[in-house]
Amino acid sequence: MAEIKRLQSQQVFNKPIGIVQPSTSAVEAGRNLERLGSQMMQRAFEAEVDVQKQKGIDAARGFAATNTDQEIVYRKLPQGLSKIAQREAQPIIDKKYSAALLSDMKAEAKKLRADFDKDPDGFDNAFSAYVKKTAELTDPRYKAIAIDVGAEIAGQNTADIYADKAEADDAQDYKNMFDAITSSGQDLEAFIGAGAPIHDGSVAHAKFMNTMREIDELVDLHGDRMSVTQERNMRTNLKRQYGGAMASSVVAKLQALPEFQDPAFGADMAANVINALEQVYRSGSIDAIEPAVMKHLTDAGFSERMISGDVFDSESRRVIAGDISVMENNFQERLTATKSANQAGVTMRTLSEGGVASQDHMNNLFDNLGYNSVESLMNDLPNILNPANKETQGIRNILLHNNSDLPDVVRNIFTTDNLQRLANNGQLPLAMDLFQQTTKRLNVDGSGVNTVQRGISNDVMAEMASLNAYRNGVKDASFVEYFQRKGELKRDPQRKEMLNSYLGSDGNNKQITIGKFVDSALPSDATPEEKGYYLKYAEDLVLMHGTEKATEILEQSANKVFVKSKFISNNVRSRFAPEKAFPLRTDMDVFQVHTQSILDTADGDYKLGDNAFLIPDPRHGSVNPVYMLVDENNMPIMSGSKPLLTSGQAVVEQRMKMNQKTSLEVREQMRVEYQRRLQFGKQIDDGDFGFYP
Amino acid sequence: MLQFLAMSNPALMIAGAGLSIYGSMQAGKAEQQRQRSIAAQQEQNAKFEQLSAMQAHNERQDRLATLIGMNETSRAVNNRGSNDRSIAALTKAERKKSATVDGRARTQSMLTISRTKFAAADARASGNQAMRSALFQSVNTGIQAYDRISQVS
Repeated sequence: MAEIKRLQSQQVFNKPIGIVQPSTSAVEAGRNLERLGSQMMQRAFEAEVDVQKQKGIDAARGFAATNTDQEIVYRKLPQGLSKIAQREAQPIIDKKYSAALLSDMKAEAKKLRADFDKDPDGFDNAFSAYVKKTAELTDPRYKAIAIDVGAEIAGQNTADIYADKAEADDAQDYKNMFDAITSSGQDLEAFIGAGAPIHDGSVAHAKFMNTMREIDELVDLHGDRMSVTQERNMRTNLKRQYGGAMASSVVAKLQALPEFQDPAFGADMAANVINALEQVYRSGSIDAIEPAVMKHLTDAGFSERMISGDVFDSESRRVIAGDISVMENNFQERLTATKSANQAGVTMRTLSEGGVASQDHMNNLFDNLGYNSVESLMNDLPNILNPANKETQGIRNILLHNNSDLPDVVRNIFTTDNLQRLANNGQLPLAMDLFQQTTKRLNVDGSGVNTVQRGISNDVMAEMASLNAYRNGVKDASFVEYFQRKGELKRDPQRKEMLNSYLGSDGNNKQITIGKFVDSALPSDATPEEKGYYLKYAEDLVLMHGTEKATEILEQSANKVFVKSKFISNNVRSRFAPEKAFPLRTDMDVFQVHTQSILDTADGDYKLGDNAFLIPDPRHGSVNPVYMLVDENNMPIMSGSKPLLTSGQAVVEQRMKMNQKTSLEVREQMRVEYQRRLQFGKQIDDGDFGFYP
Repeated sequence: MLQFLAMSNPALMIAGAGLSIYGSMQAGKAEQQRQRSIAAQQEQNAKFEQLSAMQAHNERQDRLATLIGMNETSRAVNNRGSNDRSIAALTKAERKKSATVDGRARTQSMLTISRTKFAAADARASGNQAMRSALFQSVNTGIQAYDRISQVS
């Protein structure tokens, strides 16, 4: 049988072919773009935040919490600020308001503290009321701040006032105790100074011990207020006050001891004993003191305990010794002043009796009269020249009717500087009158006017002659202008030309020199020395006054300064002529007798003015010249191998003798007066008030 | 470019926000398209699965018909009557067996198609969700930009 074959095929079916995952790149691109935009926005935002923060800070900085009167003004933030700027600005502005509130409250607290000093409760009430009122008026935003700040300041100040009050009370107590101790020391000084006894067990000693105990108490109570050295200083000061007062008491009693009341030597003796007391305090020992001095000290109340260690340390002793030294100096000054016053009295008496006083005595007299400067004398000069009382009459007589050397205070008036100053003050004519009246004397026989130099230098004499000539002659301008012109002429570069112009030329058309002019102006017998002397002044005279007036001045001046003397060798005119140096007859007599006594010792028979003459030594000046004695041939007159010299020393000694005599008389008179006083005091002690006859 | 740099910060912020929104929308749109593409493929797979199931069914029916034909032929060859019970029982058993296999295959095929269709629907939904998400993101960016600008202006 046939077999039927079947196709053996493989079965094929359509099946799902799976999934192709689409690309995510587009998604990623979109997301990246999103991130980019987001980041861009974030960055721009952050940048803008910074900008806005700065705007906020700037706005806050320009924001004023107070007005021009420093009063707080509550204002909103400036318009137009972003939220971030506002957030940044607000804390700063809040701080400003807080600070302003704090400042206001502190100021108010300070004011109230002054009003309620030492009263903490009063301050607290007043300040609390102020804080409450401030909080009510404050912007609500700052109300809490105002209350907090106020509470803090109130608490702090109240506590401070409490502390201050306690401190002040304690300090006042300390001050009171300190003042009391200081006052006790001063009282003790005054008590002893008033003459209280100073021995052990005396009231003064008890006061001293009490004050020492007060210092103990002060240290116990207020030791913390005192510096390390204060206690020691207080004790030292008290001891010095106590010891110093005792020393002063001794010195005062010493000065009052009867044996030291002798007007001539008593004060000197007292000064010596005081000096010994100083040495005792300085050395801390009485070993070196003479018994006689010790007796004086004991009589005055001094005891060895005063320098013992329980009263003084060595430094304090030296301090007291210094104080005693000052007391001694003061005593010496008083002594000197007394002596000076006594001397002035003697000088006054000498002058009033027509005597002559030395320049030192004249200076002392005028010092005592109160004329110690040119100004003081010049201001009083009108009264002196037209005296209204006895005192000024006496001074006038001394100046105008006496030939003693003038005191410095008068001579200084005529120096160039002072003349110029007086010219500026309008007092120059007065000064010139004074010069004329003090140096001009009418001759007894009426033959003319004599000049007494009275210790004024030749230069000043020439200067005054020039000035006087100007006043009496060409005066074409004020004295002020005169001095100005003189000063200008000194510095004028055309000086030489002007001088030549004034001097002119001689007959031969030749320029006259200043030397020739002086030759022609001076007397024919003028010496070369005289010519040389005036050559110094001639230029100024010609420039100031012209040749005619200058000639007149030179002639007059030459006869005042250079005098022809029969005693000067060769009989020439000289600045040093004895007739000029000793214008008083008495002085001239003394000089002649003195010189003759020297000549008597010479190897030969000489007589002054006959065969013995004088050659001046210019080194000693013209006021009190020194001369060499020579014969007719100008040969030195010898005594053995020694050339003989003479001077005005004898005149000076003679004047001193006269003064001494007057001084002794005055002292004698003082002794008499002192005895009268003692007698008067004794009568009072005895209850007899009758006057000593 | 320089003009861009010279822009003020707020302007830059607005520009940045714009870029961010645009990028966000673009990303959503791209995701949506991608998911749609996946969905389309899944749907295509479902169709293929259905076609495959039908083809397998037809194959099984062919083989059953062939078997039955061969058995009928064999019965005829062997002079068996049409009411030969053994052949009938055998055929009946084959038919029953075929019906069981068909049933199982159909169920499996339906499950697979259903799953694939679900995957397609899910991809589409995912795409829509991505688009919606991009929209929300854009709105967020806009709000953020507005907030920041309002802080600095």
